[in-house]
Amino acid sequence: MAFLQTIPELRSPAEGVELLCLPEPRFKRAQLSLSMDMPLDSGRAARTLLAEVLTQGTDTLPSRLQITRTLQDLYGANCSLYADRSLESHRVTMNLGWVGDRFLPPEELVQPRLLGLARGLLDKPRRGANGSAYDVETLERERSSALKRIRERKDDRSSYAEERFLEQMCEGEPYGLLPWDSEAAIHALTADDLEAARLHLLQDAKITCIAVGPCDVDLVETWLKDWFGRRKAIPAQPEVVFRTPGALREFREELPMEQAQFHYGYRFEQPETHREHEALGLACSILGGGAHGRLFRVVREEKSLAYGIYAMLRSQKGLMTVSAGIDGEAYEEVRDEVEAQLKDLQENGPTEEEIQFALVNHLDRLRALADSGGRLANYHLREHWAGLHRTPAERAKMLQELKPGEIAEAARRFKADSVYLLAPSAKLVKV
Amino acid sequence: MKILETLKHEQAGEEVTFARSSNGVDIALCRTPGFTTASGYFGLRFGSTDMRFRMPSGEVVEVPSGSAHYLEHKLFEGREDKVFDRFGRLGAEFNGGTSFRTTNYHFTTTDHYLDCLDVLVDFVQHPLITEERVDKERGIIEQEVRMYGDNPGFCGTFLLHEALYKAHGIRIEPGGSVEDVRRINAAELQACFDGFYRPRAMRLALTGDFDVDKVLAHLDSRLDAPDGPIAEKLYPQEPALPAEEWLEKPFSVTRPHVWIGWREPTGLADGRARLRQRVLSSLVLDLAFDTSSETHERLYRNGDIDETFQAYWSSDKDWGHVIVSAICDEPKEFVKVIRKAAADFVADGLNKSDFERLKRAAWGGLVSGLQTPSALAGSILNAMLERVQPFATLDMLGEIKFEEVVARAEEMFLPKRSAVAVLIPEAEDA
Repeated sequence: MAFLQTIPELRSPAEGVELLCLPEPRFKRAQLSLSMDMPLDSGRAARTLLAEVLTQGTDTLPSRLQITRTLQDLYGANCSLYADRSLESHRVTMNLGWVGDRFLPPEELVQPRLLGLARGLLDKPRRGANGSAYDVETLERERSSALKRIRERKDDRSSYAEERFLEQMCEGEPYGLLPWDSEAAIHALTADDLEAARLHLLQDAKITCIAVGPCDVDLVETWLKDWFGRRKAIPAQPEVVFRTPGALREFREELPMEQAQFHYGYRFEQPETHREHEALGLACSILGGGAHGRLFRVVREEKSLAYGIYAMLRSQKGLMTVSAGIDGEAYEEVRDEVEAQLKDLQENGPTEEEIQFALVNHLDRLRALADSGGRLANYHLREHWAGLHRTPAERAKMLQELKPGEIAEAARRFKADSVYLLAPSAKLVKV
Repeated sequence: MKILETLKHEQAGEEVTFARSSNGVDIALCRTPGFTTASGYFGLRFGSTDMRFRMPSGEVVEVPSGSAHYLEHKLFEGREDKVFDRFGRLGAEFNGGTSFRTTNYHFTTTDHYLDCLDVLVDFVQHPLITEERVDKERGIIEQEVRMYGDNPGFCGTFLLHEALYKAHGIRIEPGGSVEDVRRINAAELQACFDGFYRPRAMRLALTGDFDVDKVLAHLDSRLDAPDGPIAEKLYPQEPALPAEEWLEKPFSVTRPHVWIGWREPTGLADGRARLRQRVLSSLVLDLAFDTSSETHERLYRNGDIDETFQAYWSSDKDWGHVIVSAICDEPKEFVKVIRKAAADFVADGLNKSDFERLKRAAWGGLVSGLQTPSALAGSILNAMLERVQPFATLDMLGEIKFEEVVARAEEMFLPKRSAVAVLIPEAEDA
């Protein structure tokens, strides 16, 4: 499968702009993602609100209704724009998707029209009356919505628990910052702040674009050249902060809820070789990478303490996290079991069967990348941003060469940092 | 094994071969040349609302809520070897799902396809259900049910179902209540299996870059469960109008979450007729409340709704309803505004060019949705369980006339068929 043995062609159409090309006619839908990275500075509140305001209209399509209708005319194409924290950057992402040409009438030109619309959102926003950068009514409406979203985020207990866990574990690091800054920062924004943020973003963001599926990548390159061709050199992105954990910290918060949310965070030093990267991934997988993982087998299957419990590697930040929805009363038992299972893996290494289970699982996921445009795009973007540039085939080969001792060694890199529990308060809500 | 027919679908760009195994399982196979993954979806029309049935022997059986879902969990335990381990050794992704009326089991793999297929058809046909095994799963399922108990979207939807229906099984979530999960026993699960998991009721959808004849030959001896009559499903009588006009429940939310429903009076047709009803209803809802509609734009600009606003259609053989939901500050005012907007939408008349544009967008979304072998297999299994041809929705979009949509709109938003559910914020201690 040639697809798994290559990395995407890399083009540099403009200063600070990189284009990864993965044209593939098998797919029915083309996907294009444009990631614009900025530091997690005070401008993040403005960029968060800006993304919302920009999707409300352009100079030629001055309402959300007209934008949606245009997308529907393009056979259900999609175009979204949003801002979020990504690693230790603030990322504004534009995602586009459209049906491949082979399913459309020959005279239809969906891709160029969609690219034009997408550029218009960021480049030609709908202006307000009397020289105002943005329409006041739209700005206030979107501000009000953003503030409500911030206040209501604890309604989603699972996401809120994860957010609070990372906020406390990584306090003082950009990774622990909220992507929208604060309610006060959103409150204080003016139309001019948003316009300054837009211009700053277009000039200084590190831009990575990936095009996957039945799309004309030359057209994408031309689009990027036309759009960003006059950019000057962009500032360097800040380095990721790594911290060595001290004594284990335990955080507990309470809300009225049915099920407690458990998170356990470990840190690890960045590995120096690709092989060590793979060993870390396999160690995490053996601990809790799915139904084959130790935690799933012991905490769920043997002890019935959780419906699901999973470990995840946040490689570029040097974090390994374990998450589960549990009975609040079982907190100490689950915490101790996570510690015991990792300790055993660190001291005694994995069994041959565990390695085989985790390995076939990893190899299957790597091969499966070839069938999904979205997964392929995510895989290659992660590799690109991490500077690793490994093909799925290279990773598969390296994984198969790993020895049990290397996996145990990788597991020993995981150092406990924080445990967090969002627990049901005494006042339970029965539904 | 007998090959029945082949369907070549130009719009979807796919070809499906239909066959029937010697013991009566209907199978659909769709080749996906050039794709690395391959999938198998095995399912039947037996779901969470099937809680009372007459066995072929004549005995009437009643089982607690959540039984179909519990049974799905038990099947994954296998007989000697856990299904997790069997699929795990092969590196396959696998899962199952229980809805109101169906249950399905599926895998996706890049290797050992026939071995995975063996596992799938084996564990679904040959479970071992004992009290000890049932007890062991109880804690896990209880945690799964509790997980949904913190989700306002999930809980509010079922509160609306309680308002819309007096006795229907969709009032209860597919996982069942915690109390029922605690009392389900092995005999009840065995009765569910014996009553419904019969080859004639089972459907198997397979996709991948495989040799169709080879796969069928391989399957023939492995589809070996003895066939027999299926239990008769017994559903409670459901009145034609909603059970309650307005239901409220305190919940840990910041602002009120509101659901408005409009239900159908009686059971819907089966097969293509029901699919047509679903497509028509979805088009009406898009015309009325999609972000491309004048109504949505006006309500959004006025601040009557925000981005939490949604509208969708849900139906099966004996239920059908529109659900409109949002988070708002004043539930009564919100309901008044939305009901008036629905009435005005119908009174003002529908726009034909909007209809054509929405059809085009829906077509693009459907074609794109049939991307991976897994999505394709899931779609084909759904079609088989709905008793329609795969990709029938694409054909139907082309056939539907504007006048049908207008007629459908006129019957969808009748006030007497409407009910409301509200989750009201309660004070938090923390």
